[in-house]
Amino acid sequence: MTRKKRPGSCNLSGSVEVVGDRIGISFVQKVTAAVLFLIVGVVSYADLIPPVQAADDSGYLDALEAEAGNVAAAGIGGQGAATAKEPAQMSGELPPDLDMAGFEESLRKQLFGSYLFYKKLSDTNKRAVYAEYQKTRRIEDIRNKITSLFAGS
Amino acid sequence: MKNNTWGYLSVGVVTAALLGWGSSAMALDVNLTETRTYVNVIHEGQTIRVQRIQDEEHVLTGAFAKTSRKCPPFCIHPMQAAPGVTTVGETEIFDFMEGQLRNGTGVLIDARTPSFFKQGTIPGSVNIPFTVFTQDANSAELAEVLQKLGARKRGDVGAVTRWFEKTVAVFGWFNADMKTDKWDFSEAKELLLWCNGPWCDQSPRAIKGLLKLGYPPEKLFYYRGGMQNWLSLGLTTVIPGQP
Repeated sequence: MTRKKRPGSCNLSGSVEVVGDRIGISFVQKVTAAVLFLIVGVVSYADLIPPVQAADDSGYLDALEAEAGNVAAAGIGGQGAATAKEPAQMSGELPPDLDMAGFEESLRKQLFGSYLFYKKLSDTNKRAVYAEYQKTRRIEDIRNKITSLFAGS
Repeated sequence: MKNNTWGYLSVGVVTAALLGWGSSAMALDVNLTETRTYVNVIHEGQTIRVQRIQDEEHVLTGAFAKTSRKCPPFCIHPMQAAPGVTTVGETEIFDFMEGQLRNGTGVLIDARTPSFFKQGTIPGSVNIPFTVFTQDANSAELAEVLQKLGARKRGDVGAVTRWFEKTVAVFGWFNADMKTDKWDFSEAKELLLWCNGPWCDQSPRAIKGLLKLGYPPEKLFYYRGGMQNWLSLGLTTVIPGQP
């Protein structure tokens, strides 16, 4: 059974033997050469590490991009930006710049109880409520205006 | 007279009921917690209300309804990203949004690559991909990001000074435990990092990169649930760049 060798260290021992046999140098020189080759081998191996990691990162980034593609295709579902705007409308104010019809529709959607009273008001009083909306947009103020006009009518 | 009294009473009851109905339209049935209905957070200069989807029949659809992805690389992660780093859940994120994020002492970081971020993110998040934190320590981009996060670049620190700092760091004196050769993290912000969920390695990688740079672990928080859990609870997301 052969053991798979790690990159950068595979030629180390073989190289020392070849060098020693061919040149016929002393034991001390052989050891020195071996140490030098060992250092070179270690350095080479160390040099190889970053590319290996970079390859791993590259593979991971590729996998991420593929997954991001799946997300783009399927969407993230849930509550997106469009819905995120809706709660802002529930923050105590009606949306800005509505005309009379838009204001009534917004009132119907967001304050149905007050809207029922509003519908019973005279046209003059309705315009007064709309003026209140143009002045403050605050739901609390609009509701109070409707209530007071309804009570006084 | 008696008829009139009953008439006024009836009008009063109906009025109260209808006004109450109007008020109850503002109340939510699906709250964040027992005591919290929503959290407001600033995202790209706009106030976004983070709340849950009110449709009780709503089910998860889209990419995050998927249960299985190839592992590796999309393997299930342990609860703790790294020693000393606190793992948080959604309620802690709400606290973070109302606390550190609002007063400017914390940053919510979407550590995913931009291709995920642009599909939708947690309101209040800024996109700093994990790849920024795993760059070489001398990277100019990394330095710029760290400075934005409140870290201060140090000048040449003498060997004696560093020796002294390392010695007293054990006792936590002079904020020495918040300093490295290159960076002073004593004024650095608290960072809450997140990515796609328990199967995502992007925020753990970012956290490990930050720790390697010397960012104090006690200033790092890991939302392991990520986008997967955020969506499963029907919480608000925003698409960056959309008004």
